[in-house]
Amino acid sequence: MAALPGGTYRAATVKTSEPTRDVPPFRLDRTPVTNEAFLGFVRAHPAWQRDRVSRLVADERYLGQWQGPLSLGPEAPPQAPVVGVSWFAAGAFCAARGARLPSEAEWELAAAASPKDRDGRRDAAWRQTVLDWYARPNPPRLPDVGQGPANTWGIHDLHGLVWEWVSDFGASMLVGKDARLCGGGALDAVDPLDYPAFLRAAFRSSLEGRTTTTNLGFRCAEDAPGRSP
Amino acid sequence: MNRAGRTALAFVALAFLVVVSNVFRHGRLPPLPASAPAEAPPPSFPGSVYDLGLRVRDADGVVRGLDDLRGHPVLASMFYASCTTVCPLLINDLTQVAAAAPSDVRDELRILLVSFDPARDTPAVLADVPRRHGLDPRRWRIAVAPDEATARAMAAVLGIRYRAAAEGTIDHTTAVTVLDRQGAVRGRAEAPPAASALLAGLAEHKPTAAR
Repeated sequence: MAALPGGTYRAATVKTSEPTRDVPPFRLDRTPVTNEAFLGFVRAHPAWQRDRVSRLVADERYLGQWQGPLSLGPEAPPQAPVVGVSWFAAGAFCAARGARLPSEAEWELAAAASPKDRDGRRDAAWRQTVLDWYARPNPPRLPDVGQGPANTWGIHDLHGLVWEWVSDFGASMLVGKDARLCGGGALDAVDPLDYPAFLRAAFRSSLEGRTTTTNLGFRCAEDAPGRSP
Repeated sequence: MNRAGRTALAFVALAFLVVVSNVFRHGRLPPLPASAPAEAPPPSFPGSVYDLGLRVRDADGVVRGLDDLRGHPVLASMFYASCTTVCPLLINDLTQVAAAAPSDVRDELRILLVSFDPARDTPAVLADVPRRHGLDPRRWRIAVAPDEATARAMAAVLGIRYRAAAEGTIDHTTAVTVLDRQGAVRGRAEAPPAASALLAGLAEHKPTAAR
């Protein structure tokens, strides 16, 4: 895992009048969780096999790119990121490792870094590199993790491989489907330039805990050692 | 407790919540009560909310599971007690839906409201909610998620989205989930007519209540 110092965070989609959040130091996986690692988890926890899992916690397409409930097959190379996992399944995987999913704040703080800079969001060239990925269709078979350039924290693939779950995806509310909101929630952007962060917020706001998609994976996080319990 | 402490606790609880039912099934801990399935469910098993190990703090301060709701049709949603705008409307809607339910459903119906605000919704605050709104405590279970991880898991199960907003308010959606007597999710409703329709569907399925 890579160690990050934390910092302050305000979602790109909330009003500038809202307070920033302090994010304590944390650690984050350097690469997304692979098919091989998730297969190991499923073997140890058969209730998470795709032919046994409760539909409350994983939809019908859960692990659908695997050849069988306990075999990866040609569409799921061992070192490629696991996709088709629900929020519940991702959280259970991390918990079994003694870890957890990163919060949106933690993930976004890590993802703000470029290969050269802790905050690369003002770097027009880097921003374009990130945006280009969102414009590309998924390859038929996902490449292995860790092939993309490391950012300044030594973390790979936060951009350019798969979307990733965060623990509080349910805090993203951009889509007007759920009509009634208690409170304000207007969209006065903190930083309209950080368009990729808007894309991610919109994507998260479309998810349910049981949702799986063929380009949504995850990585785990944990508190920095020594943080008071 | 500081935020780091809460977060640490929260994820210990998440680990417990998400993994515990599997651990139970595979015999490393004492078995669940007899009502839980002994084996992993077959393919396409819809799943029961009561098998997810979710626990809430009730108005008496005790943290316990949701098993007492088994065997009842349930309307479930989330709120926070200091909410002054939509939450009273939600309670009003739920009251109306309950009153309009088919008689056999109405008599057994339970309403579960779980707060996602453990910092402020203490047992005393929870206990005040039924008094303030004139709610029958035999029908209404007003509780709070004991930590953020539980609140997020409960919200994921019930299709609720929420986030802390300015000045201590919490932005949130108000979907009502209808659970059948086994705890399977029969649907979600954004407005009373849809919730009433889902409840009416439960009346037709009453003979399956065999637990």
